[in-house]
Amino acid sequence: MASLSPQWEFLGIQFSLTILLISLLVVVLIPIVLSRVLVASTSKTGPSSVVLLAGPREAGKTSFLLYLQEKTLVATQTSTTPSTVKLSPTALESSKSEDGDSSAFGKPFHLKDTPGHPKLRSFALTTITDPTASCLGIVYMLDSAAIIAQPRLTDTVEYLYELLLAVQKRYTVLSETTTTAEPIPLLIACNKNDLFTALPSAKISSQLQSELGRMKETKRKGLLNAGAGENDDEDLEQVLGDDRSDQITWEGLREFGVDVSLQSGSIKSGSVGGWTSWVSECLEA
Amino acid sequence: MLDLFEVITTSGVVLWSKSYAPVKTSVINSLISDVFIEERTQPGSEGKWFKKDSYTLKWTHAADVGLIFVAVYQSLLQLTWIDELLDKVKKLFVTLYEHEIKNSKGTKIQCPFDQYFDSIIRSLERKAVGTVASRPTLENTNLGAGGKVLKTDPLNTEAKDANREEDWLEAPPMPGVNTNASPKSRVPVTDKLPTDPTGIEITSASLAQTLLQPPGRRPGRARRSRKSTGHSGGSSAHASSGEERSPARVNSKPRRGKEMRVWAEDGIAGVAGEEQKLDYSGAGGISTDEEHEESMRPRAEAIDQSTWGTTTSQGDFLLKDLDYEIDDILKKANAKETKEEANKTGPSGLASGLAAGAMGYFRNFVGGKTLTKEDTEKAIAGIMTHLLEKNVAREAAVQICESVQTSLTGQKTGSFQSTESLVRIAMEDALRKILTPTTSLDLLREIGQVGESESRPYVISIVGVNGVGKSTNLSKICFFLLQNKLKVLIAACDTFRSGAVEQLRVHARNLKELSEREGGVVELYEKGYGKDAANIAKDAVAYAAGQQFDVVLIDTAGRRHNDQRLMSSLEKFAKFANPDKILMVGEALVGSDSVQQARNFNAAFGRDRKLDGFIISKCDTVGDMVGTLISMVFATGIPVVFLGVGQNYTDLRTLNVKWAVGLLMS
Repeated sequence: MASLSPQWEFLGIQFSLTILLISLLVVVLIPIVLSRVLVASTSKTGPSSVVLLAGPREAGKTSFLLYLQEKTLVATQTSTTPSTVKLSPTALESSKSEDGDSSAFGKPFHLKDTPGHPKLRSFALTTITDPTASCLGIVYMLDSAAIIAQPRLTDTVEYLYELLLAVQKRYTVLSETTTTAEPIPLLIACNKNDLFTALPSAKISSQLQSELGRMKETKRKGLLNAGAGENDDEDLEQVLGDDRSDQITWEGLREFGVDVSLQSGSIKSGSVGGWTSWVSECLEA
Repeated sequence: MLDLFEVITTSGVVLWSKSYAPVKTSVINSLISDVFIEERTQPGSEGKWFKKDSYTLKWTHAADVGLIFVAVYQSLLQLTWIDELLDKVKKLFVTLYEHEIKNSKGTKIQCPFDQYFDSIIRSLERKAVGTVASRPTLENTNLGAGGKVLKTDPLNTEAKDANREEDWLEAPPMPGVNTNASPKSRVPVTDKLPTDPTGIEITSASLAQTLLQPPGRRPGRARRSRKSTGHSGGSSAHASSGEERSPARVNSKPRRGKEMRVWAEDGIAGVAGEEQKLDYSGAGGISTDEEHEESMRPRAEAIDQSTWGTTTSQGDFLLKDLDYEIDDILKKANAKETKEEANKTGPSGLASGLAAGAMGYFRNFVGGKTLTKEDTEKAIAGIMTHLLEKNVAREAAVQICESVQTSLTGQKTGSFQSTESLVRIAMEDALRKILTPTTSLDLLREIGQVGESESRPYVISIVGVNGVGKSTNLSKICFFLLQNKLKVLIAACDTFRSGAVEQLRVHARNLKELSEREGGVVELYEKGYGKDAANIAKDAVAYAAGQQFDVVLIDTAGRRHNDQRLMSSLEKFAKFANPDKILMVGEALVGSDSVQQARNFNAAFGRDRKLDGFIISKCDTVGDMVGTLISMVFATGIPVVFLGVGQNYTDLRTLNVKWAVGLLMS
C-alpha cells in the first residue's frame, strides 16, 4: 500500500487535473444548456388563455387586433402567419366609458390572429383542437357586405362549418375525460356594417344557419373521403350537430360545445363596443 | 416612377408605406395570396415579378424578422433600380428596426422611415439619371419648376432678364435636372462665375437685402415672377420650335458638364462648384422657397461645407446626416454579410473555429440554432429522394424542396429539435398547403344551387389521356349522383374510339338497374361515331334542359396531351358545351409526365377557361406512392376532387389531405 500511494498521488494529480477540466466544462455548459432549453420551452408552449380570431380573408381580423392594441385604424394586407398579442383587459375598454375598476385588476389575455386564406386555415383549427391551449373564446369575423355574393357566402360558411366541427370534436374529447366541459363561446362578428350594402345581423344569422344546414346535408350525403376507415376514430366522418336532422340552429349547437352569439359592428367607424364587451365577458367567465 | 412601396409583416400589418399614387390594396393582396400562399408564379416571371392590373410588383423577403418589402409601379415603366431599392431598403429597415420588430411579435411598430426612404430613392434616381440620359422624374420636375418660379435674388435681375429666354429654352429638355434653383447657375452665361470667396459675400449681401425688405413684399414679387414665368413659359413653347433659338441651346450644353446638381435638405436643387467646393446652396435656398426662408436664414451666414456634407469623387454633394447614416448602415450590413460568408467558407482562427464548431454541435442537439442554407442541405436532399420514391415528379419535387429550404433559412430550431425533424415538419406543412383546396368542392351543393337559381342542368365534362379511366370514373360519379336522387344524362362524346359508345351503354344499363330502387334516373345520349364531339355535347345539354335533367355528364375521347391537333379541339368543345366543371382524369401510376399532362390540359381550353379539378384514378394500384397527387396539383394549383380507389361503382372517394400527407411522408 505504501509503495502504491505515491503512484496514486501522482495519478491523483493527473486525475484531478482532468477532473478539474471536465468539471469546469460541466459548470460552464450546464447553465448555458439549461437556459437555452428553458427559454426555448417557455417560448414554445403558447400562452394559456387565448381568444382566437378567425374568419375568411379580408374580413378585418388583423384590423380588429390592431384596433384593440393601437386604438386606431392601421392599414393591413393579407396575413400569411398567425400572430399572438398579449393584451391587458384595459385594451377592451373604449376611451369613453371609464368604469373599469374591476377590469383594472384583470389578468392579461392573448389574442391570436390567424390567416383567413383557405390554405392557411389549419392554424386556427389546430388552435382549437390542441388540448394544451385553453381557448377562452372564438371571434369569427366576417364581412357583412361581401356575404351577399354566393361564392363569398359559401366560403364564409364553409370555414365556419370546419371551425364548429373542430370545436365539437374538442368538446367530445373533453367531455369523455372531464365531467365539467364548458361550451366555448363563439362570437360571429359581422364587420363592416358601416357599408351601405351591409346586411343586418339578424339576416346574416338566419342565412348562416340555413346555409350551414345545407352544407351539413350535402356533407352527410357526400362521398367518403379517402382516409376514412383506416385509422379508426380520428378521421371518421363526423357531422356537425345531431344526427337526427339537417337543421342547424345556434341553440342546438349549445349541447355540442359551442355557445354562438352574433353582433354587428365596424372597425372603420370604431363601433366595436359589442365585441369588446363580449370578449371581456368571456374573460370573466 | 414608383407608385407604392410597402413594408408588411407576414402577419399582415403594414408597418410602413409610401404611396405616390393611389393603388388599390387588392393589388398587394393578390400578390400575397397568389405568390406567397398558393405559390403560383406567373409564366415567365420565375418568381421575380408579379403583374396585376396595370402594375408590376417586385418584392423581397426578410425571413428572419418576418417582413415582406413590396414595390409597386406601372408596368409601362422600365425601372431598373427597383431591385437595388428593395435590397437597400430591406437592409436599412431591418438594421434600424430589427429589435423592435422582434419584440412586437408581428404587430405595429412606429417606424419613421420616410426620410431614409426618400434619401435612398434620391440617390438611386440620381444614379439612374446619370446612366440613362437624364430622364425627368415627377419629383424633379416639380421641384425644378418650383425653384424657378420663386427666384427672387435681386442681384441677378438684370442677368435674369438677359438670360430668361435662354433659361426657358433649356428648361424643357431637362426640367429640374440642370435648371437649378440657385441664381449662380445662370451666371456662367454672362461669364461672371464667382470663383472666389467674394461670391459668398455678394450672396450674403443680397441676403441681407432680402432680409431688409418688408416681408409683405416678397409674395408679391414672387407672384410677379410667377406671372412672368407663365408668360415666358408660353414663349418657350413657341421659341423651342424657332430655328434662330437653337444656338442658345447648343451654348447651354457645355455648361451642363460643369455644374453639379445638389439636393439640399428640403429637396431643392442647388449647385456645388467643383474647384472651390463653394457652397451656394445656402444662398440658393434662401432665394427659392418662401416657406423655407425662416429655416434657411442661419445657414446662409455660416457656410462650412464639411459640417453638413461632402462632395463625392463623382462630384455629387451629399448631405451628411442622412445619406451618411444610410451609407454607414448599409456598409455595416454588407460587412456583416461578407463576414458571415467568410465564416462559412473557413474559420479564421483555430480556437474560434473550434469554439464555434462546438457550439454548433451542441445546438444541433439542444436547439436554438439559426439555420443557414448549408445546414438544411443534407436533410433537404434526403427528403427530396423520399419524395421521388413516392412518385412525385422530379420537377415538382425540386421546386417544393427549394421553397421549403428558403422558408427554413433564417429560422431557429426549437429545443431538442434536430434539423431533420424541422425540415420534415416544414415539408408536411408545404404538402398540406399544396393539397388544400382554395375553393369549395361540394359538388352536390353546387348542383343544387344551379338547379334552384338558374333551373338548368349542371354540366360536368371529363377529359384525359387515353386509358386513364375517363368512362369508368364518369360512371362512378354518375352512381354517386344517382344515389342522391338526381336525374342524370350521360352524353357519349367519344366519337373516335370504336366501342366507346357501347361501353357507356353498358354502364348506363347497369346504373339504371342499380339506381331504380334509389329513385335516380339515368339516360344515355348518343349520336354514333365520327361526328363532331362539340356539337353532340351542345345538343346533349340542350336536350337535358328540355327534359329537366339535373346533371349532364359528358364523356370525351382520350387524347395525348402533347398532340396539338387533338388538344386544339378541346377549346371548341369548352365553348360549345360550356361545362360548369371540367374534370381531368389522371392516373396515379403516371410518373414525371403528370406535370406536363396537367399543364397541357389546363391550357387547352383557351384563355378564359381552366380545369376545375382532377380525378386521380387507380389509387388502389400504387399503395402509398401517391406522388401524382402532388405533382398535378403543384403544377396547376387545381384541386383534386375525387380519387378512384377500386373497380366498383362505389369506389370513389374525396381527397383527405391529412391522409395523403401521411402517406407521402411515411
